[in-house]
Amino acid sequence: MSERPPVTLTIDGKSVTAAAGTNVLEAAKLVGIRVPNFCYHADLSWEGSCRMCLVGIEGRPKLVPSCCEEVREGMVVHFGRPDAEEARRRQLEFLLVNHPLDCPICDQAGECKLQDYYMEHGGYDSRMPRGLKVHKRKVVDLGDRIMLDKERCVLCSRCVRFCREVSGSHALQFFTRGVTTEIGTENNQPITGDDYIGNVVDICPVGALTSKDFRFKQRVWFLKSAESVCTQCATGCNVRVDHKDGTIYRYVPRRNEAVNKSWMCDYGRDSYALLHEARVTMPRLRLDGGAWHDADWDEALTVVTVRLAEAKAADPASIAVIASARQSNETNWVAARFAREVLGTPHLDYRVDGSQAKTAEMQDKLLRRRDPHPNNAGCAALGLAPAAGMGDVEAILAACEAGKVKVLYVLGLELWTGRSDTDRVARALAKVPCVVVHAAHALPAVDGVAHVILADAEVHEQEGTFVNAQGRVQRFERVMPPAAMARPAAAVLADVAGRLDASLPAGDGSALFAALAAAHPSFAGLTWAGLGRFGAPLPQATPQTVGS
Amino acid sequence: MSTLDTPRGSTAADPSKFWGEAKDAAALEADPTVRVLRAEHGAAMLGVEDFRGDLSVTIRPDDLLLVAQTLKIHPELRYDILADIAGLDNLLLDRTPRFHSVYHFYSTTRKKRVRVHVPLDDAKPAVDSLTPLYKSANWAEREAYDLFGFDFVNHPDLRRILTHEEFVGHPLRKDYPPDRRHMLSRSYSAYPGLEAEHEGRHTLVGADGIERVYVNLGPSHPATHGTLRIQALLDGEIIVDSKTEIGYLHRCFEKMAETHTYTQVFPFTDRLNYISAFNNNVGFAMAVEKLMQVDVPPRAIWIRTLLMEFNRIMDHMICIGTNLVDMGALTNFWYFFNPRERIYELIESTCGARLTVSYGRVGGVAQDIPDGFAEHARRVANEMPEFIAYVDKLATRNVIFQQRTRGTGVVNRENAISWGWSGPNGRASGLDVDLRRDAPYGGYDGLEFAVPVRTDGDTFSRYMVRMQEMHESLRIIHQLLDRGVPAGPHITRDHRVALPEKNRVYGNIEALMNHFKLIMHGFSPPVGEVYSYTETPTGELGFYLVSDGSGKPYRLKVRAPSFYTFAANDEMLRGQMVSDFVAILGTLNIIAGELDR
Repeated sequence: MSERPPVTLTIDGKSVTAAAGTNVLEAAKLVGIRVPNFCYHADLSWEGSCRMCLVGIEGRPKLVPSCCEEVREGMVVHFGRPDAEEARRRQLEFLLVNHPLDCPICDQAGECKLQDYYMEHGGYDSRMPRGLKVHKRKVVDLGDRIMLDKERCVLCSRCVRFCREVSGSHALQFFTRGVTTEIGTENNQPITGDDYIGNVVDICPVGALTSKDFRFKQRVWFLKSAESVCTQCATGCNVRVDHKDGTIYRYVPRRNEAVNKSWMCDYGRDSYALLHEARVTMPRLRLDGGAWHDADWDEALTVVTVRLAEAKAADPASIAVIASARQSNETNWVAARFAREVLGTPHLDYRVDGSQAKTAEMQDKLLRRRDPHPNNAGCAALGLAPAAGMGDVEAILAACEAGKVKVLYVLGLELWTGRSDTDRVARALAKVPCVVVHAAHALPAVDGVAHVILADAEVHEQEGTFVNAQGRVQRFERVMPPAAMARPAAAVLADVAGRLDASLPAGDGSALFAALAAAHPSFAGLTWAGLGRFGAPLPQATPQTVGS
Repeated sequence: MSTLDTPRGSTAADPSKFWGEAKDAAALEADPTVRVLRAEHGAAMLGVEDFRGDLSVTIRPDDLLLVAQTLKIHPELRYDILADIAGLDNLLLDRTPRFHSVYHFYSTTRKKRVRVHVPLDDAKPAVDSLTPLYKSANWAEREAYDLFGFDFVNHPDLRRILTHEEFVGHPLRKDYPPDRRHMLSRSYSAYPGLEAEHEGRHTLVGADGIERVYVNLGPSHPATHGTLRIQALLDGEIIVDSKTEIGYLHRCFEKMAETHTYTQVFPFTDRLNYISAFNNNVGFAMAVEKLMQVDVPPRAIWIRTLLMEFNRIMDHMICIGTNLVDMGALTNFWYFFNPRERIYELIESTCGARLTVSYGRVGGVAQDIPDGFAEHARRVANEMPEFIAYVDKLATRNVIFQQRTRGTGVVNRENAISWGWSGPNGRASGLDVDLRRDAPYGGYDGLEFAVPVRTDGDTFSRYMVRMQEMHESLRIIHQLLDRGVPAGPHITRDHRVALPEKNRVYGNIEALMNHFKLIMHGFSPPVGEVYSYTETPTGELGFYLVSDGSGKPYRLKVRAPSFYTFAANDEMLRGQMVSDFVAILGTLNIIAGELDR
């Protein structure tokens, strides 16, 4: 398809050049014409059942569905012609003949295509007498995630095609015929064994399929949106974060053709809830075997600075720093410079749980990868792995156990959550006189061994970049300010460096990324703006060690 | 399709045609303004557009002062009034550079308007001040400096005007969050030496070395009728210098409008000139109607015109009534508040509200008038002349009143034009402009009424103009009542903007969806910009409306007549008796809600 030369056609008098194999509907988007459609979806097969996208094409006696019409050289398309407009208006009227009066109680209201198209392309007065509607089953429980309302359905078959072509579960099907046609599962059984079924809620253009998790929690027009990346595996599916008043209500996959198309897995979809769980909201200290107490940042960082200065003066190699594949490139880069330039220790690693070896491995056929961290590839590109001959995480733990490590500085919680040998970690860390942890979430195992816990900002509370398994650098936006007193680790590291009379770059993720791209060959040539909403691949460069 | 998918701005290849509506190029070039500017400043012209009948020219920033001079003095153009300056932040529009300073010029002789866009640098938005040419630029540029951070080079007094001195940032920039708040710690004085006023200082040594008594009038002074503050330096009883400070009632109406749907903006417009709230409703509705090309049914136009004239009478009554109270003539106040009550009853019968009515809607009015409305209106109109006559007899030829008002607070015609005055104040200074006559909108075409103009420009003239205008408004009302209420709907049937009737909402899905979308999302005008203006009781109320195609105004700039009237205050007060201050202020009819927005 891609080998054929692009073709030039005319749509409403505007000339447009589109790749061969594109349909007229997509070509129209290039000149700013949004053709209404229910059944067409960019990542599903062409169906042509809803007839909302009818356009006139010169030389064709009848109107043609633009979603099923490939562009041809010299084609002359009329979208705004009165007969096409009238046909689309009448088609909408057909689709609404049996539609229930549900808007006030429908969770889709506000992001419903029937509503939008009525405003944009309908605008007619109803001719349907009251009481003649064909009714179907409402509130059909389709398992853990989906609620089906059969009479709201416009039979576009997007969900049916999704289950057939993408997830392969064939869970949703058409049943019966004519005016009683409906979608559903065999005997209305709950859907099981489809880890991507949440996507049918997103692609349903009306309120037929709604999310059990999200429905009735929030009206969509109150939500604010930010663009981010899912952090639950190395794929880095692009997501839209919908939030209001400091609470995230849902993730919605954001179309990125190069990464996740329009999809995301249910596991990632649910992970928004984890962001708010058991947050560490202020720094905490435990000094000389005493009890934990809350501290302010100045007190906590004074303790950290004193311990680091003492250990550095005695022997820089008695300090070990563990970076995190759940932190952004910017934070890890600052952490690496903190370890190597400010502290002068060679003991730096990020490979705490062996996940970096699985980055490329797929867990299923579609999107999920076995590596549960979003940024192992970024850490590798930053060259955070110790140089040959130096100790890795296992060596650091061994040194801890041998009592050689005086300060262990840890970003993130993977040392406790990612490893199976929790006893060994606890045993080794018990020997370290000062363990500093940047933690966004409280964890009893950390309380048992740490001495300073620094409240870390979660991913949605800062901006930055991850590198996914494909080597694609992707931005995530700051959705909301950090919870309570939490601070992004990069800013804290720069603060501590300042107290140690050294200097590290500070600023927002965008500023740090600019500094990183200027300083690090792996990221050379990339710019924050250039990454855009969909990211850009890493320039092909061999990972090198940062710092001196 | 969520609102996130709504395209913003135009993708047109020609950057000079941002709003995408091309008029016949030859006709556009033949326009005198375009022709003269091309001939005189060809190199400075970056683009010419005609959208919804508004001529808009984009000018290179370096040439603004010269272009403005040509616009002002060229015999074929003579744009003698700088009506308004609006900042515009293009951050969320598909357009560079980020900032535009937008000027609206008006020619009182040719009755023509032109809009000038000046693109400004993203990092350091700066452009020459127009204060050497137009006095109205003084406050207008201070406002753009305050709300957008534009630097106007050679402005004599560039400091914040609507927000507090301790405000951080520029609130109308698109990256300024609407809910950000600031801690404000203390009060400041425009006279640097007077900041310690709370320590009991009452005098100030001026630049000439003379120590003068300092009087602080307002912000809570009974005669300011609103929160205004004038700091005056006195030589005996003569005001030698003053500093007018406003912003005490600033709500950032324009920022609020950007976060609300078009219909939700109506209650905010009520609170501009709240003495005649309905006129603001109509002014705003007309801007949206111009942008969306909505036809308003004759019945709605009739209702609007009738109520606007009643509101004008009421507004003038309050102005004159309170003005006379301030001069000690309390009886007149009662004579004018009594008929005002009758008008309120009439307004109440239409929408249930009295002061802040929110009765206007895009495409018409919110509800139909009740049965017997015309008779009710006729009754009220017939009561008015008696009360006007009472005040006329008590005040107009009263010696004390004449002595206090004749020759005080004089603004001559030249200054009135330069300050951008309009409405009754402008007409009292010989500025023969009335938009109802000069640019007939709504129902004013075909109505017979005179436009009273006086030339003295003093407090007495302003009083007289208002007294005469009330009679003219009554003439208009009687003509409308004689014609009878037109049949038909009170609001357009256009599904884009008007709510369907409730019985249809409950009866069919189309009307339900229509209602739901209009209430929850509002309507989305096309991408574009318009300037729409009406003659309110205080003068030319203009709405400069920019739409990015979404359900909320991208930018809504109010050209508040009180703002431009009051800008002349310090100049007017110089050399006046301090006791005349209240009489002068009262006659300007400054409404703080409109002044500060």
